[in-house]
Amino acid sequence: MINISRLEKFYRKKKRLGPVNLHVDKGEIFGLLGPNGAGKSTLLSILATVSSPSAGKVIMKGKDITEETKAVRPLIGYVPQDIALWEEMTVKENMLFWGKMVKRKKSEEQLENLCQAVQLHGKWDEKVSRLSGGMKRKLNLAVSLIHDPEILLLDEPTVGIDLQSKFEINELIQKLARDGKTIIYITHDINEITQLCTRIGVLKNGIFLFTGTLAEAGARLQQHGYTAKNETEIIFHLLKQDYSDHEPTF
Amino acid sequence: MGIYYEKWKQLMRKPVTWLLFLMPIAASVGFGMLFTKQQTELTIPIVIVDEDQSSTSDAVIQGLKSQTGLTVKEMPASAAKKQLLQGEVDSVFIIKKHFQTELRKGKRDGLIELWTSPSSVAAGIVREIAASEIIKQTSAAKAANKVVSLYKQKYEDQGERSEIWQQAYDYTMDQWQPEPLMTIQYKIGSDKRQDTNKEKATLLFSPYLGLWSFFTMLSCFIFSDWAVKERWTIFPRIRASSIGLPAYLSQCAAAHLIIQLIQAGFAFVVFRYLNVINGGIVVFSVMAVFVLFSTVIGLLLAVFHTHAGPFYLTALSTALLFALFGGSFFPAGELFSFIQKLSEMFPQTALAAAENKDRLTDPLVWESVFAMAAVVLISWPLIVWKAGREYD
Repeated sequence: MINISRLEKFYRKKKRLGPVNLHVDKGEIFGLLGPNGAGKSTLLSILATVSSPSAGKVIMKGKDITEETKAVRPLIGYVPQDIALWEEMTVKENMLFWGKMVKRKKSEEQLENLCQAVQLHGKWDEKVSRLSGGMKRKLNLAVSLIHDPEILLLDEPTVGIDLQSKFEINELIQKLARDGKTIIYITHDINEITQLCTRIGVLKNGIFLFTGTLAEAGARLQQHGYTAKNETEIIFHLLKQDYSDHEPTF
Repeated sequence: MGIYYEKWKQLMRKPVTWLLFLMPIAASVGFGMLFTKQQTELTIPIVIVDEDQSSTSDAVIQGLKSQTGLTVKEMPASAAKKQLLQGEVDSVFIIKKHFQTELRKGKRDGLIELWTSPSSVAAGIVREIAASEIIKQTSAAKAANKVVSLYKQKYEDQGERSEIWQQAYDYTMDQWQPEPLMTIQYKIGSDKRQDTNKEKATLLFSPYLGLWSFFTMLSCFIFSDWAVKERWTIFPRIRASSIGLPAYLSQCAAAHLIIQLIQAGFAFVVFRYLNVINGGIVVFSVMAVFVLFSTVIGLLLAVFHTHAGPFYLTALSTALLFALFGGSFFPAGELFSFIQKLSEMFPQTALAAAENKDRLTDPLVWESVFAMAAVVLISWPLIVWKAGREYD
């Protein structure tokens, strides 16, 4: 579904990302991990066509995102890290407004159903400014689903919210993946990585130190003489250790 | 057009929209009335010392008293000097002895002595007013002398000469009504470039329109803060959407523009109702172009800012700069010649020209309108480029 090859991004002559190679299959939840400033959000913004790559290629469902940007955009649902909503408007007004931004228009009923699907019951006429952080995050996610995209790019969609909301959002993400949507997910939450992600990629200083499943990560750590008791320790070692002397895996 | 409509609805629900809608009209009418009232109440105090005590000197004093911009007091020279030194009066005019006799001989020079203090700001203006009064008197006296002389040549020793002189004098004085020296009209429709430039120097705003231009520009600038506030939240998602950022920017800008255009129309109707501006549909057309210009410049300022605080500061400074050099508050061009040249480049020139000429085909009007349109056309791609560049 997503093929990234030799992707690079420079900002003010400084390399921020790459070279990055990655392949993500349909229905996969790919977790992007890494310390702050590793290049996770930069990679996601390139995939979302928000920023353009300095070099390399990204092919989504057979379409080059640089050359066929307009054709690619309907495939993508992007959830930025900041809540992209109008606070002074109601949930309904926000949904209707964002509904105007897509090619395939949705009826008010369809939009309301979408809000129900993200567990925003009874909040249709509520002002966004009055919603809790968790509800705002749910609405933020609902907006990205308006045009029923095949690829979801989620930049820390559950950051700073209550456990209940986090659980509900994670359930929805799993359901979306089961429905065949391809998801790239940035998170710092170890539980989300272990429970949600089918594969992970660890970015550091703009390059992937590791990509694969958690089991593969455990095996790789053993090769380097580390032993991990559980998945949490595997992730901890992956993030902690400096693999820059080693050939990154793709 | 869907986004435009949604944005419009969103704006209409915000109290700040109504505040920014009403601000230019309320502020320009309020401050305009205050300004006009002050202008009519503002007079220059002068003192006349009448050493001649003749009917002609009295006529000059009455002429000066009839001037709306002056407060004329009569007193002896010693008292006048004291008042001048205390700064209570701007200048002292001493009508010398034999003023009438000399005037009737056709002499003008040295008949009135002028005392001013270094702090006098209006001596030049007062001197002009006094001089015009003297010119009126001497012209009439000269004309009367001529009539008497001709009469003498033709009808020797018939009738009373002083009576003839007075009749000729009165007739000539009547010819000054309504004071032609004070009401020199601009030459309209000149083809010569040099003449056009001369006209520009004398273009004056109605204070209402001048103030409206400042408050409208400020309102349009503040109204553009959405582009700063949405930059890091809404814009990235818009950029990733099917519609794209340029379409969103243009439709949102259009919604803001329409509100300000309605404001301009409303202001125009109010000004016409109060009868405080000259001109008709041409003035409104230029007001509309001015709103377009202000909206686009506001958006341009907004996309070059990342935080609302510094943006508001820049918006206020820029609006003030435009108002000061463009002549919104006072005719800036009359201060220094280089400011005059500079002020001609500001968009307020179009408003002043439209109010004075009321013809869209007048070079002064269409050149300024064209300049504003050109700035809008150049600025728009820059706005789109800058708004999108942030994420690259």
